[in-house]
Amino acid sequence: MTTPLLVLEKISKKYLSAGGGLEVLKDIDLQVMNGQSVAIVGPSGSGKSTLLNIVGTLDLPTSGKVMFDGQDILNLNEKEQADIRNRKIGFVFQLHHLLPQCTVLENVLVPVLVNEHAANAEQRARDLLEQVGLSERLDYRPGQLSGGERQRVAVVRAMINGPKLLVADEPTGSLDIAGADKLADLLVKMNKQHGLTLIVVTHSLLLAGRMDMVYELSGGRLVSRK
Amino acid sequence: MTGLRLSIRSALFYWRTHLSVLAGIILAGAVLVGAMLVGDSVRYSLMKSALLRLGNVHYALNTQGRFFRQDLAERLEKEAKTLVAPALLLRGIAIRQENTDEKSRQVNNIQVIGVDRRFWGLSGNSVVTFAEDEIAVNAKLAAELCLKTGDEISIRIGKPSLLSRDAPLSSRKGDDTVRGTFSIAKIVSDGELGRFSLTANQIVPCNVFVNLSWLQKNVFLEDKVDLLLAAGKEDLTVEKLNGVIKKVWRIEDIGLILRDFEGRGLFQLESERIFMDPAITRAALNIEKPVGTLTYLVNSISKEDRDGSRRTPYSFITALAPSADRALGPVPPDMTDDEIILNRWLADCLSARTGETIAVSYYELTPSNKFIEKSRSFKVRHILEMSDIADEKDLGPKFPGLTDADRCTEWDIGMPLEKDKVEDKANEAYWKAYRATPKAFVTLKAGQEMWSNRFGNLTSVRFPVARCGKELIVETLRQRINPAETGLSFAPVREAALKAAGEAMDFGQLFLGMSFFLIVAGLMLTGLLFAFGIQQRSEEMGILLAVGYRPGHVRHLLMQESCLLAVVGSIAGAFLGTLYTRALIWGLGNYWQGAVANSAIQYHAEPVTVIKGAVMSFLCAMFSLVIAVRKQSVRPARELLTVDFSQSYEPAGSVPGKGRLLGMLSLAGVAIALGIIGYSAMTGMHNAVETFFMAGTLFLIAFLGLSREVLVRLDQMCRGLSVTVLGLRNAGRRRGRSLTVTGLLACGCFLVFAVSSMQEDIGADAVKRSSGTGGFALFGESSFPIQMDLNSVEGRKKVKLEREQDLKNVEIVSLKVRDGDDASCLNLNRAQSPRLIGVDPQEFVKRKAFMAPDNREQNWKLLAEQLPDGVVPGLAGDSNTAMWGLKKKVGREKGDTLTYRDERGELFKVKLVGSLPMRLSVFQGSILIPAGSFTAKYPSENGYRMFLFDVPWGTERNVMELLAGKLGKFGVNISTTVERLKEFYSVESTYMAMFLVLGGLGLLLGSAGMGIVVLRNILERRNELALFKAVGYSDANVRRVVLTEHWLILAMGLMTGVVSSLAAMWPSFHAPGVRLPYMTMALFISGIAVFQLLWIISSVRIAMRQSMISALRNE
Repeated sequence: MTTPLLVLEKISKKYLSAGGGLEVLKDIDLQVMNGQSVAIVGPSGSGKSTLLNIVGTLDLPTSGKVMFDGQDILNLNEKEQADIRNRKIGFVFQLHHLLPQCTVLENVLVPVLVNEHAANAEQRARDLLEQVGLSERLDYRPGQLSGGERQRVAVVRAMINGPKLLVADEPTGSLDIAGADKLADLLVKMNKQHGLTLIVVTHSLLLAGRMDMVYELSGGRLVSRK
Repeated sequence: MTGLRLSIRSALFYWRTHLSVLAGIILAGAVLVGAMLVGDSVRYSLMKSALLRLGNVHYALNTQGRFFRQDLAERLEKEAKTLVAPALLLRGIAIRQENTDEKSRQVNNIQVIGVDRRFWGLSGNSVVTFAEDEIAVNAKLAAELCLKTGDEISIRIGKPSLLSRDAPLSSRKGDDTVRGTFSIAKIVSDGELGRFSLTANQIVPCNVFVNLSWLQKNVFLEDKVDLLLAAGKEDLTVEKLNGVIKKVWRIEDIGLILRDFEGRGLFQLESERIFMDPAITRAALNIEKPVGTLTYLVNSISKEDRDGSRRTPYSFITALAPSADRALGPVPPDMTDDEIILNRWLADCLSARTGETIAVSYYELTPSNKFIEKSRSFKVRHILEMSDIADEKDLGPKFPGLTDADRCTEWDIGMPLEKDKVEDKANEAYWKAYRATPKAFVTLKAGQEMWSNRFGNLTSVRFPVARCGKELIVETLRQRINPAETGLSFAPVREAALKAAGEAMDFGQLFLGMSFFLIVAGLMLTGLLFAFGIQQRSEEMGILLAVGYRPGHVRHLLMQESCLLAVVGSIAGAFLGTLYTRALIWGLGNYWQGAVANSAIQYHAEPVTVIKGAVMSFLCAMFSLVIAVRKQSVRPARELLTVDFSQSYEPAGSVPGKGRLLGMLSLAGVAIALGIIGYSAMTGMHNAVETFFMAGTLFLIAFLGLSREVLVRLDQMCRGLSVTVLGLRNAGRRRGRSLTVTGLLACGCFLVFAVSSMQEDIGADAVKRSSGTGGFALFGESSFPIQMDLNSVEGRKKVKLEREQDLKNVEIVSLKVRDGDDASCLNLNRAQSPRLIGVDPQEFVKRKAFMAPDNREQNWKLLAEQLPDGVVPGLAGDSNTAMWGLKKKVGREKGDTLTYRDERGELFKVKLVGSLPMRLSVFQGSILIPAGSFTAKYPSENGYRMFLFDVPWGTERNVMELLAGKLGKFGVNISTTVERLKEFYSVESTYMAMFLVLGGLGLLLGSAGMGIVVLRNILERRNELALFKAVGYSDANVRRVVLTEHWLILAMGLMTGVVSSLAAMWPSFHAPGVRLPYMTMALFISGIAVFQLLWIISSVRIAMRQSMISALRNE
């Protein structure tokens, strides 16, 4: 945990609106070490997901610099950014976004399809699904799963290419308490057992409390709470 | 708040969604109403054209080549108390000499109408007056010759003859025309009867109106006309008018003369036509003790004996019914049919005595106007002194050109005469002394056995003065002869014209058929768009169900909303339809003139049609909307509230039994279609239209069924996982949508390709005898009949063609024509009485012309069949004539019959025993009957007016130029047979062009539908695309997934359309002249593919331009 995996330097994000510009992120600086788990909390609309999407190269900051794994990822082209997302960053969203036409196993393998370096992906998918308790559901379709099960599939899908960073945007938002607990356990397990760096945006203080670091985003500023 | 209010609110709230639905309904409605109004417009234009060509003429007595006294009109007018105008209707040529150094311009086959003031009274407009050296022309002729009032033109007019020029002993001069130069007094407008014509055809004829008395004088028909036109009047019917004829007609009207030889004790009934009609013969021979006579010019009378042969050429012999009354003739009651009475001159000439045998040789006229020499032997019964038969000198018939000639060498008759025999000195001396006094007498029976012909079998009837007075004979004839049987019969021409226009080709249906796909495409899109809208509102429906609405209530609310849309859309569509009609009519006037044979079509909308169209489009729209509503409203509330339908996925085989059945039915469809094609190929069916539609439609339905199966089984079929497989599986997610689009594209391709494949190269097989040209290179029609045999040296000499080397290998088949309605596709009216052509089947059989290669139908043989009850066998000019022009069945057993009136006024039937085996021939629009039947029914139709030139291919242009020049005075229009076929085909090819445009529009709409589905699919699945991006898919990878999915749908649609059209068209590729439309197909396919590619790429771009993050966060 000595080298930083992710370094954000003076990240700002401004949206143009009818009443002038709206700056949701103001000169944010953040360092996340390898294997660290970080929670970002804050009120709705404070810019948590925006910050997460900038980290995941799904969005661009108005200004600032994002260093990931020693690379300035904002200067990469579209293809290189896609490669980073595919192999080094895993995403989990509030909604699972599983493909209804694919089975559980196939959904997990979707990211592998564009990863030229993937080897033994299917076995790895099976192992991961077994780890999350879904080995009996490999041929099920998303429509045949519960909400918690779908979200676990989404986590496994995020893990399939062995990313260094897992970013989760309100992963328990659509789950009941038991489901949320199980998912939190899973994320912590991934962090601890696989040495995966984890950034979680959440409203759940319970989930946030299980992370190494907790930051609060409010008024565009990121303040450490833990 | 009421249900209706809620529906209105919803309709207004979702206006954006509904706008596209409304657009679909309006489009379908406009196309539907527009197509129906085209029908109204064409019908209206044809009706208007029919009324313009007839003015106030309701009834016409048209004897076509038979002439009667003009004053019959006055008697009829007085008795019927309606305007009756006499006219002389002849054919002619109009010639305008431009300048001395320029070529003259000529219009053939014009109508020359001799009229007086009464004719103009029938127009209801001003009376057109002109002097004898002036004429009036109609606007069409004026336009063709660039004429204006005061200009001079020449008119050459066919000079008719009372005795048909085909009749034995009739003059057959080469040039039977008269030419006059006139100043144009007036250009007669359409409203002034300028378009006058009695044939049911919208094509305006070229008319010249001349002074009736001038015309009568110049064609030697003084006081004679062949046409009476009667105005309409309340309570006047054609039966009443024909009843009036019976009351006022006189025997002179039909050219009968009762000559008074009271001093000799006889009256003799003669006809200006020389030979008497059967109706007259029947009536005359029923009067007290008549004696029928038949006088003929025989070729020779000879006697063979030990001293050699003695003969006299060209002699009149009279056949008389035996009678004890010597005043009526020298043939006694006990004379037998093998006996002959000679006059002294002949007996001396032959040194013949009573009891000796002499031979009479004579010409028999065949139906094809050839003379065959025959001979018959008689035993001399006795010899009469010349003084005993002096009275016979002026009792014989007056043959023009024969009995009025001073010398034998001046005889002008149609029969071939041998020069040296005509110059026989003894005969010349006899002619000088005794003129046409018969040299011999035979019994009437013997005479009729030898010289009866189609013109009649009596030349006079003699009545004894002692038994009946002149008045009694005349009155008895008047009573016993039905004037209708001599041609004096009115026909309800206005009624027939309106019937022909009313039964005309229904352009409304035609356009509906052509626009069918466009309408269906519009409705399918409407349904699709509405379904999208409803799906978006599934939550609303779920809430309504949750708060206690029954599914029926919800359905009712949605139906009300649909109804509102359908009502608004239909009304707007009907309005737009009137504009669409105007656009189509503009197209018909500017680009598709061929479809209406260059006729001007005026816009006309019947309010009933607009309402009917609006109601139909409302019903169609409701149908498509109801399907969408029904599908969505059957889901339970829980599902509607919780399930996101854009993410729903129906696994394969969810209804296994139904799926298997559909799959099996589809395969069965393919097998049956293949069977039909195989049968077609084996049996060599010539007409592939039925095969095409049956097999093609089956293929299409079956392939669509199979496409559904493919979509259902995609996830089973696409094992393994790859970016491509992901896309392929996506195609099966929204099967309804995918199938709708596949169906639209498939149907569009099928129709467009199939129609474009029907384009034929008409000239491709022109040299073949089995083609529509019959292997003949040139086709000609003359304004005036050509009497001579153009294949003979004599005939060619008469028209100065005998030395033309180019004609050495040219044979000409001449055909007789009885004018009638044109039943070709160039006539939009339904032909009531199609043109008849008299043909000698042998002329074609020997060339194997117009026969299928295997001659399976043996069409020419059918013409030789003897049908019961005097029914005449007829062949339709081609299969299109029967199917479309006449809409009649053909066949030996089940063929329909057409009723005609022969020139004597008698009705007879023509049975359509078959048709020429090709779809399109140079005879299109006509009925072919045997020459024998033709001449029997229309003996006065002399000469030939239609010609097929058997010209060595490659020389036809030279020959055409040569013939056009030499036969110009007959007003011959010569064209290549290929040009003639192309003229007919232009209608069909224009229909196809129209269909291609309308079908192409439908295909475009189908393609737009595909575009809408693509956009919808992509927008619905933006989150999915965002996820792809999130897990590291590049833009190119995302596009690949989307493209694979939609290309599959596109490929299935195009493949289904192309394969089913190709497979079904396969038999017709073997038909002559049919070519595969590679270019059209390639253009359409690549156009659609490029369009879809652009559409997919743009849709992906639109979807991905929006925030991916929001897509990931919001469903």
